[in-house]
Amino acid sequence: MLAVTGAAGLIGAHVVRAAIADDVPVRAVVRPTSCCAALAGVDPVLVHADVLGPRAALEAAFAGCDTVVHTAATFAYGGDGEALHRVATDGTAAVIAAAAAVGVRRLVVTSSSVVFGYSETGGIIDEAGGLAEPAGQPAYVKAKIAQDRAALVLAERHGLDLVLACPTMSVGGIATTLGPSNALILAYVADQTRSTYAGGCNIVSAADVGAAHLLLARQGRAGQHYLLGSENLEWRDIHALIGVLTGVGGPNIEIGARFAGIAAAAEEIGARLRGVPALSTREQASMLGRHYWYDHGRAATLGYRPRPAAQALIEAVSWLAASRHVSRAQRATLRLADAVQRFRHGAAA
Amino acid sequence: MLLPIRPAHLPVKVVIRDAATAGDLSDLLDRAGLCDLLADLAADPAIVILVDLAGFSAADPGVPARAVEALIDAIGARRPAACSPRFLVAASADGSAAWAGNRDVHARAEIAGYRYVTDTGIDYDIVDLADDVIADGFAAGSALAGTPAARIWADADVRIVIAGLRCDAGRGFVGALETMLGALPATDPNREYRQRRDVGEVATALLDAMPPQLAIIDARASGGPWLVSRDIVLADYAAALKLGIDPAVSPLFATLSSARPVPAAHAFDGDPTPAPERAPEAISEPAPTPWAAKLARARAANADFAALTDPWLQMLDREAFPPLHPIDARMNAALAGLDGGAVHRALDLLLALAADGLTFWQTLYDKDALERRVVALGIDPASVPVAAFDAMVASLDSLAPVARCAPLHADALRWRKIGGAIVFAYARELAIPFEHFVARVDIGHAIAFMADYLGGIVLPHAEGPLPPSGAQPPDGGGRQLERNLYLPQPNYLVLFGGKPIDVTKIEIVRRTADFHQLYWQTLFSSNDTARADDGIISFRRTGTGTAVEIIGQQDFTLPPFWQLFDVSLLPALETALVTHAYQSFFAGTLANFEALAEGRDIAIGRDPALPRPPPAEALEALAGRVADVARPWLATLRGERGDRRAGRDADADGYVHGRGV
Repeated sequence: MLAVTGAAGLIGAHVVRAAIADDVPVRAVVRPTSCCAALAGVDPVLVHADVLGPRAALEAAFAGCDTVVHTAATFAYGGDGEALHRVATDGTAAVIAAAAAVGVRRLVVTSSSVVFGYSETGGIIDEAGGLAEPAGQPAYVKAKIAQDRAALVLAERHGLDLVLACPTMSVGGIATTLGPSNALILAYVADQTRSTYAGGCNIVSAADVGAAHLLLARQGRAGQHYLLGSENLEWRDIHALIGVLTGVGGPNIEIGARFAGIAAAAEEIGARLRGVPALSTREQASMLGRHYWYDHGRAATLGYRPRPAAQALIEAVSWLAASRHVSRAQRATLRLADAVQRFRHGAAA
Repeated sequence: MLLPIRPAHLPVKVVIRDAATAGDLSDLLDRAGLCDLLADLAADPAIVILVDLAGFSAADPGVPARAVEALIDAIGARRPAACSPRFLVAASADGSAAWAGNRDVHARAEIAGYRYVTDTGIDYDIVDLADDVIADGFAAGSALAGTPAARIWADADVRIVIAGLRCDAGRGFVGALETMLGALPATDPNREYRQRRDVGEVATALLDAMPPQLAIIDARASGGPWLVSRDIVLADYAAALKLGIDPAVSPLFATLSSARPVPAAHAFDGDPTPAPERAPEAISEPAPTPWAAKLARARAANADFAALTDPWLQMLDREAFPPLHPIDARMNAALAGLDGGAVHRALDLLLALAADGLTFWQTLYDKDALERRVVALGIDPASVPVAAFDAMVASLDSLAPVARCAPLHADALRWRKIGGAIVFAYARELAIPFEHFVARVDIGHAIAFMADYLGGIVLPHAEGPLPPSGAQPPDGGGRQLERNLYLPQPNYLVLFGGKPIDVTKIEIVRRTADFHQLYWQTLFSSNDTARADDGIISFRRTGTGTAVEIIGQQDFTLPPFWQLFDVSLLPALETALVTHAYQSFFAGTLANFEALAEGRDIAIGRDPALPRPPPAEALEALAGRVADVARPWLATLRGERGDRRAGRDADADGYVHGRGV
């Protein structure tokens, strides 16, 4: 039996879906207040528990499970850094303690590729370089580094087999909330200037990341990090691909980190005035110009074979365009590529 | 038993008296034909008297309560011996109930001095017409179709409207017809009956469904005339004559009188000449200048802006009707008492410009804030002969090859000018399976799915289904009529006074297994915004998806500014503007089709079913968010240290350390 925390989130829901598709008995652990739209259609066993809530609820959620996949986290750039840190460290500590208390043997904790830092020059990073120094990093990155360090210590103390999954920029559908990764797609679509910027990142399908968690639960080596990415792309290529898939075109101009920071500040102000989440933040803008490029060779040795980044974006755009995250007015500006429509109707068929 | 508005044997008469020589109410009623009205009543009829309770001060409540009670006494004295009528004095809440206290019907009636019993001892009740409604009280095709009707008004044996008379900058004048709208029970009447619908069409629909049998205008309290008629349109017409104004200064009257004109043969019992001392200035409020009327209508044209500023500008007794929100109270105290001087005029201008600016913004950038529009068809479908549909098909089939060979100006778009009209063809293939596509995108409503559609109505033609056409028999389709409203095209024309494009059309729908098609052709444009808007849209099955083709000719009326600026003198500019306008429109239309295939709602405008906070609350919330955004910037400017906790670095184990206690 597998328990998945954060099962209503983008990664967690895909872990649950992968488990159900693989006939693995699964228990979806969600907060009582969570919207479970991402789990629609698969109907897993739902258990209510909050990683920052009563320990007994977590223990009850994990009781009888041999493996726990802990995906619950706050994924955000900008906002309350202390809250991010608390969920990442205190929440993970609570999960480890609860899992150990009820006899769970293996634990997969969702970390992030950013814990391994970035390259200024386009170098590709793997797990061998170790965790990055948190100083100067965005609050989310600091929180994830702190989470990993604490988890390794606590898992060893409790005698748990701990594997750390480090997804790159995970895009895709069947999510309840938008999330910063999918928001980057929408930010480009919403940007009338069709601006791009220097640097790049690794794009991966959230569905592949979900399935990879199951793979790590079965085969991951205890105490190891596993980068879960797909293709490394420059931002201009990512934006060009999004432009083609959505019909908005571009990019037309490359802007620097400082200008991007100003634009992000304007977006944050506008979003606050409208009472909606910002699609991009100054903290994200501070990461521009860097290459968040990673090598998933270690996971590949276990059989991890992600789909191409373009396919991940096709699936993400297909879902986003029909979702509530794209307003009616925004949808009226899109002209979906045939590849998106074919994926959609092929998937429906 | 519902009595006719005007039995054939009665003359169409309006009785007119001046305040100084008014005489006796009974005499007026007799002359207007009250006895005939009462002659055939049932034993215990319900006589509903719709009153004007619109006044905003205790001293000027609208029609004085005593006048209404005198009317009840007069009717009571003339009722047949076997008749025991039940009298109901009725009204419904106006828009002010949302922002001021004591504006519900019963509170206003109490303030106005209604006593529930007349001087002669006849009991009557005060009723709020919104308390008991028929959910869908109006016929399909009516401007009020789908809206509730007041059951008491609908079921009344006798309906009487008794109104005051006053000039109003936005409404021209307010008499019996405006008061009659009080029979409609919506909770936000301004938005429902004046913003989402044409108020004249609303009045026409109400008059068609539930006409009053007697209209009384009583402006004696303010030195004005006293008029009684069995025909409410004639009563308002005569009232306008007494005021010395063109009745068509009232948008309601102007629209209504085209559908329900003043009876051709009518008579004045009394003098319709406006006495100088009883000119508009003497009727409770100064007559608005045309300029003031234009500014007031500009302000009222934007629903959101009107809802925000109405409470600020309404002269009112703030003790009797206290504004509910502190912002409204302060703004009303500051602005409502302006005396018509230069500051007042400047404020009117400023507010009109602000309303125009907001409309411009919403039209271009925030279409979902616009009001969805509801219209009546404006023509009896049976009045259009089948031959007109056949002629349309022949005409458009001839146009199609001309459109298809027009120069290609942009991706998928061809167009050329013929006789001043733009003849165009737009064709694209969508990678959406035909069955899926046509199941979600009904060709019969394709016009309503096009970009910038604000609202409209489709009604079937009276004739049966279409005969088979071509090799395959049709599996659906027929003749229909449609009226549709679109935002001005291109949208930026709204800045130059462009009005929504309003076109009534005849249409033919054809559906076969692999091909769906809609023909449409303009019958008329109610607001003269289009001379031609004709075309064919088709969905055709292809190997991998659905081919969409739109062919047509359009000749829209430009706003005056663009008529002066003859863009055809600059062909390159004209080509760029036309191409951009059509490319944008069709890209949006095809995006709408895709979105429908995804199962999305594509209608622009605000969902009228969603609750809206009072404008003052929304303004307060926005101000709060502005303050939240500004606070950290101000703190930075003041040199204050921000909260740095979020930025503290973790230690080697990843923990952030607090200061401790």
